[in-house]
Parts: sequence; C-alpha cells; structure tokens
Amino acid sequence: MAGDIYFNGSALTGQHDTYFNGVAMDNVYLDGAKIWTRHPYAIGTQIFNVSFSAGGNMDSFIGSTYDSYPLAFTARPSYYSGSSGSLDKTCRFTLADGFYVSYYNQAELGTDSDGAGAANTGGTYSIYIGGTVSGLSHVSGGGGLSIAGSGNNGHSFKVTYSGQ
Amino acid sequence: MPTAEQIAHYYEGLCKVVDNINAGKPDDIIQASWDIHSSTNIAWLRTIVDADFWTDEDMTAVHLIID
Repeated sequence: MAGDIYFNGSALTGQHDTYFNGVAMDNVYLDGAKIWTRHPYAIGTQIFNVSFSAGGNMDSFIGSTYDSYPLAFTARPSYYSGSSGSLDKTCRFTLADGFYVSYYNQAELGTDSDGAGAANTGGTYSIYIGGTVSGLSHVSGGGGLSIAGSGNNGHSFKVTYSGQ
Repeated sequence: MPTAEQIAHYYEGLCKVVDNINAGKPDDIIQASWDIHSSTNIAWLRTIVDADFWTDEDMTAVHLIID
C-alpha cells in the first residue's frame, strides 16, 4: 500500500519522504508490520493514455500497456468476452489502489475529465469494442464515469496516480 | 465536483444515449452487437441517473428506459 505517514500533521507525499541515516526508505516497518510504502510515482503523474478504434482490439493494452505499467493494475487485463478477432469483445481490468481514470473521451458522446475519481481510486473497468462502436464502462469499485460506455467510433482514456 | 459546463456536457452525452436507444437498432449493426451496445448504455443510465451533481436536468426520458 502507498499509505501515508504524517509529520507535524502533514502527510508525507513524495516518492521518498522517509530517510534513515540519509538513505531513502522504500518501506517503513513498526514492530515488524509494514506501515508505509513509498509512492511508486509522484502524485498527479499521468501513467498512460490509451486509444481504441471501433473494429479494433485490446491486444496492445493487454500486452504492452500492462508490461510498461504493471503497478497500475492488480493483474494483467484480459478479454472478458469475445477475443481479439471477434466482432464484439470486452476487456476487463482492475486498477491498483492509488490509480484512477482521470480522462475518458468517447468520440460520439463526449469527455469526462472532472477529476472526481482522484479520491476514489482502484476499481474494475470494462473496455468494449464492436464493429462501429466502442467505449469504457465502470464495473465496480473506484470511481464512476459520466460518459456512457458505448458510442460510435473510437475512445481513449488516461490513468493517473493520485496516491490516495 | 464537475463544473456547470461539465454537467451540461454530460447531460448532452446522456441525451445522445437516450435518443440512440429510443431510435432502435440501425440497419448497419447486427442484432448481437446492438444488444451489447444498448445494454451497456442502459446499465450506465441506471447509475448516472442518480449522480449527485445533477441539478434540474429532466430525467423523464431516462426513467422511461430504465424503470
């Protein structure tokens, strides 16, 4: 977990706020129990920005996006229905605590970028791609989306680290 | 909390979804795809209709679909 240690009432929020004899700590233990882990990214860092086309697939997301940013996920995303070559397919993924969907644009329906998910991180989402439509849906946990999960043409979304 | 401008944008998107569902399946999409597309958006309508940021937007058409 990327929990907080407070010093004089203020949370230590950097990737390395805790030093021992001048050495930055990755973890802090108290009586054998881990009480703090350094933030993997600076708070507010945009981790990735991915785009999907109607008629396309999620292979790159499942492969290279996860491989590049595994800490943003609880596990590798996978096809939930259909497969790479299917006309209709969905891919589910679960964000790790501290990560949230900070931007979602669906070509027909608009953009959700109000940042409301920053304090409500993690959660499971579903990417849908059909022949002429696509989109992102919220499944559970984390924050909801204010733009619907299926519209004409492509969509994109960004994931940001808020540390919360 | 979204701004008034963002709320108006979300409502515009919501109305597009409602209009799309009410218009029914277009000829250029097969039934199986339409079923996924429409059910995905109806599920979204069920959650977004209760969002705490709405002010006085008319949700009558949404309720006619989800109730």
